[in-house]
Amino acid sequence: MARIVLNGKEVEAEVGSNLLLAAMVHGVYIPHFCFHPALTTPAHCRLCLTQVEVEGEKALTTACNAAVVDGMVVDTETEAVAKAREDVLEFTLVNHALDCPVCVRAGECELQDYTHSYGRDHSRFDEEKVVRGKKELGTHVQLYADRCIHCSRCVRFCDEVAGTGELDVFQRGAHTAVDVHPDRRLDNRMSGNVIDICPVGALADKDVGARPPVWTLTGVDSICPGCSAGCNVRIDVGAGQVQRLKPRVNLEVNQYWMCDDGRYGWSYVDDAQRLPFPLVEQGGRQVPVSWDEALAVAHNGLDRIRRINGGGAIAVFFSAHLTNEENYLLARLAKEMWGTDQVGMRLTKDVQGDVRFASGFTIRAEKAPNGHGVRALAAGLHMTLLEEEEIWQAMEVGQIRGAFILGGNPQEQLSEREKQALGKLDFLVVQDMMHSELTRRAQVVLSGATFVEKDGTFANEAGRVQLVRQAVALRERALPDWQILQRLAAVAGRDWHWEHPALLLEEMAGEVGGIFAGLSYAVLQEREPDQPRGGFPYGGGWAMRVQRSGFLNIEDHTK
Amino acid sequence: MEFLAETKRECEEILGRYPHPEGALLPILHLAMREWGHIPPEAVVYLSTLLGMSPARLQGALTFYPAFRTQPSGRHLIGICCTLSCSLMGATEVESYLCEKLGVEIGQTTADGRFTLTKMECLACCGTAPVMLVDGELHQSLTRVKIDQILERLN
Amino acid sequence: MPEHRLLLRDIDIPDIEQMDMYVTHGGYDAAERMLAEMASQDVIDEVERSGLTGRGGAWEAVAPKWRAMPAPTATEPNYLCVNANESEPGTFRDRKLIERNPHQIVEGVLIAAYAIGARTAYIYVRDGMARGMKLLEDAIAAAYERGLLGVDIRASGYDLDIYVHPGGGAHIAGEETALLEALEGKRAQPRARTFWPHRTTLFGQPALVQNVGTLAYLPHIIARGAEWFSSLGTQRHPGTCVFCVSGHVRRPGLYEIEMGAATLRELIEEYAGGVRQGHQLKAVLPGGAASVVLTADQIDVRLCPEEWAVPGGGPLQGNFGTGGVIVMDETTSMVDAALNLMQFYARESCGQCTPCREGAPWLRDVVRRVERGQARMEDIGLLESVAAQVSPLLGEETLALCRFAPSFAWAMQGFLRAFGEEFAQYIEAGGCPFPQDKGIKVPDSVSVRF
Repeated sequence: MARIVLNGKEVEAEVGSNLLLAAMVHGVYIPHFCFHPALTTPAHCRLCLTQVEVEGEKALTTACNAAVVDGMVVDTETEAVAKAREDVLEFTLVNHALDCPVCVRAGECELQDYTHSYGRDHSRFDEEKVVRGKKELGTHVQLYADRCIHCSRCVRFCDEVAGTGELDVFQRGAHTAVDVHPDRRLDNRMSGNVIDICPVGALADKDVGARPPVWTLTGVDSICPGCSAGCNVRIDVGAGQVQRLKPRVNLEVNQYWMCDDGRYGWSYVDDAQRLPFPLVEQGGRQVPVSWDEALAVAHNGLDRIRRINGGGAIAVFFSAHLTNEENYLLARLAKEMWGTDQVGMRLTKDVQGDVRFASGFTIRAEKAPNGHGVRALAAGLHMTLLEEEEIWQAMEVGQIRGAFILGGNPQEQLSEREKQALGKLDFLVVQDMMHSELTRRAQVVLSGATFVEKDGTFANEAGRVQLVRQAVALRERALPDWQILQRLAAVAGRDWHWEHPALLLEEMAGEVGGIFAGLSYAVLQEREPDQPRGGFPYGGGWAMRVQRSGFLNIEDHTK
Repeated sequence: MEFLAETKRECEEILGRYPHPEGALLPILHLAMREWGHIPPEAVVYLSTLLGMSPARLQGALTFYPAFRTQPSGRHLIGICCTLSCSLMGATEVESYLCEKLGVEIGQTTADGRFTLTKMECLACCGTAPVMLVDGELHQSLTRVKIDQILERLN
Repeated sequence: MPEHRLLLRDIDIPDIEQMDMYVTHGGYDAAERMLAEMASQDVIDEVERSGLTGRGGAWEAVAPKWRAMPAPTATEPNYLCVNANESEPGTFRDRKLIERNPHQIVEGVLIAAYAIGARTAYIYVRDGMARGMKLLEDAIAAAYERGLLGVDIRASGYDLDIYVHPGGGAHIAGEETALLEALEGKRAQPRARTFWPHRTTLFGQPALVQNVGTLAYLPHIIARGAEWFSSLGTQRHPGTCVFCVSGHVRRPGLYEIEMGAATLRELIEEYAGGVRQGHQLKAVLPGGAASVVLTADQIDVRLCPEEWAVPGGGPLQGNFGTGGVIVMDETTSMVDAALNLMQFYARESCGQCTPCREGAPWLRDVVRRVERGQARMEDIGLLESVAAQVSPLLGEETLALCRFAPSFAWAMQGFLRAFGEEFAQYIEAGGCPFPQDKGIKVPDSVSVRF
């Protein structure tokens, strides 16, 4: 360890570690644009100039590419440093289009924040600005080239993290502009991340439409449900609705990133086909009913089969789209209420397999967030998950007469095989969050929640159990799935009242063990990398890390 | 768009001079200029596979260096040095003389496709200013007569 | 007045660019002796004793850079990169050296490469030097034929390949690390320094970048010895410098003088014949576009970096520049001259770092307004302030990533300091205040020779 002096205070830092990051750890925030811990360091924005003294030699040097050595004296509070920041910011604004009133980035813009904190309140530039216009770079990303401050983070991201190299800097001097090759588009499946890491509004989501201002948004930490990677995300809520998803920093799972499928694929939560209340089949139609009625019909239908044909005539499908707590409740229902061992899980796997990018970030082939959790749950409860085909067979030959299926798949589609098999059932209960081919075949449809409307946990492909949090209220009379299952048990006379999934998890820690051993909400919260809790609006993964240290505090600026 | 067979051979030899094919970028871009006169987007795609880099990176490099043009130009490229020493020795006059004589502005090509007129920065020949490059050949100590003679020799 | 011609010694010999003629005049004797009798370390020692300093503008001792190169291995080679990207306004000696005596360069490259154990050398030749590039390539081919390059040269066990690498027309590629970027097939953008001296690398391997004009001294040093070389010039900077004089002088051209042997005034008046008849000296840029402009009464400074006392300031390393002297007489508008240079800088900025990318065009735009009579008095203060913001005149520090920006910042402040009056006159007059036609007309038929 090296002993260095940081703004007059003696602190310890690892020899050879990055000075800018070391300072941040010790509570000294050095403003910067082009540096990003996941990318190479060109040190060309010049905003992080800091006074550094080594062996009697003092210099104003960039902190982002300086390595800590023993005896270093660092001062970020000198007049020279303050002036350097003012000067660099003035230069940065020379050709920057002052679009704040119309710019989607206003409120979470690093240039805005730094100018407010470190810049002058006026610019002396009175000449003609270089005009570059705007351009659609790809399916998701729009370029407002007049706002670009040439930090080159987006270029380095495409080269180093995605490994696809679609972007580069063209021309020279004041005419430099980030762009794609004329015949190419920015079309890698991680492209949305460039919007996060762009410090300004030069790169933005296309088709954003009218969105509440970012400083009115509330962020809720959760997990992306798109695949088994388990990327940590933040759900930004405004006006009672999900406005967008942003990645959270978790160096052990998704680093700073999320893929485009997850980032832009959540709109189903607001789809018109969402189920607002439970349905029961009456006279060939599915009719909305009360929960009491729906659950009674569901219970009676399945219980009848159990009494007449035995528990083995009921099939139960767990869902990798639902939480561990919910699947646990279903497992208990399967065992205790129906006495069945015909349990399975329907899971979509992309035939292309995992998609791995240069940095190691991987989009998983398993297109649901909790497959590993279900498998671990079954193993821990000594339940064998049958192959889907076995269950369809058993349905075909009439061995299985009824089924309870947990859905939750926004891309729900039935294969011909499934349609055939399910068509043979006497009684089908489906618990899902959206109308689909599946729900339309059910005698009872129990209207459940998407990942943004409930609490619980998912376990990713590596077996890491992570917290999912409710961000918005459920519509109409839909209920969180774990509540539905408890109420179903109650109809059957069971006295289950876990008030919150946290209590379910605690029980699972003991009853299931395996990846759940020793877990509790407290433990999982502890494990989450420090991120500010709800209520702090800000942009993207990296800015969030900055926010963590409390130095990019937008809240202050609204006072 | 592809190199001719002989150029491909030259290309191979050049690639062998560097530990990584990327190092051959500048010499190969010069080959491309010699072969095609300019380097349009489809050429960039072709060249980027030769050099083992993304098309964007190649486009970024090629637009950095003034020696490479992305648009076609006239049969003959004229580059007038306009930096200080040449300017002190009449480069501005050379510029206006050529603009008038050819009937174009700087950056433009004559209607008959013969000449493209450009300005360049210091050509490192200040002692015999004013100077200009014509098709890569340097002409020094320019006079009106000399300029006329140079242009006359070109088709 | 007498020159002391080393690099220019043979340039008037017809066919000196041919191998046979070069050899007849003692060419490659030094290299042959070196291969036969000297180890790499011996060469470095000799160069150290000679006191040779870099002629590319930095004027740093050459030998320590060589010593700092790690010993190469089969899998970790060293590279020698030769900077022949001469693009600094007012400098035109490398062109002459390449076009007239390419073998002197090849021999110099061979000596330097041998000293650091490099098996590959790239000579980065600027765009716009097609003839010189061809002559250099021919010279290299002849050297291969002669067995002076290639595998196991003169049975010494040493291999060397030299390749000519054509530049793309960017001045900034002459910056050491930008040149390496260009060789690696990228935009020629200088690499940011860290706080400490850093290793220059090519494709991840140690690389030495040396100016072509510096290497040209090596055959002379090895042939005639370090002691002889160090007896020329000054103690800090032995040897000679090929000064380039251009602009409003009677005899523009190259003059090779021992370091410190003459003053700037003597160079201009006695070597270059002084200003053209009937005119008076007004201003001199003593070291190319990157230098601080001097007035007519400030040119009695001796021509060696260590004695370079800028009037009003102290001794200054670095402002001596490349030895490219641009002379301006009273017909020159200083605002025009400043605008010309700021246009050069704005155009040549690589654009990666904020202060340079935004600062250079800003200065240009304001000076242009002065030139057009569209400026206000406050704009002079603005120019001063913005330029000082990039790098204060003669100060160590800069906001920018490399030395390119301080060059234009100092140049701008230099013009304001020496000729601020003239800027004010433009502003007051609402345009050019001089009644007569400025500058030289392009002659009809006879090249201007004063």
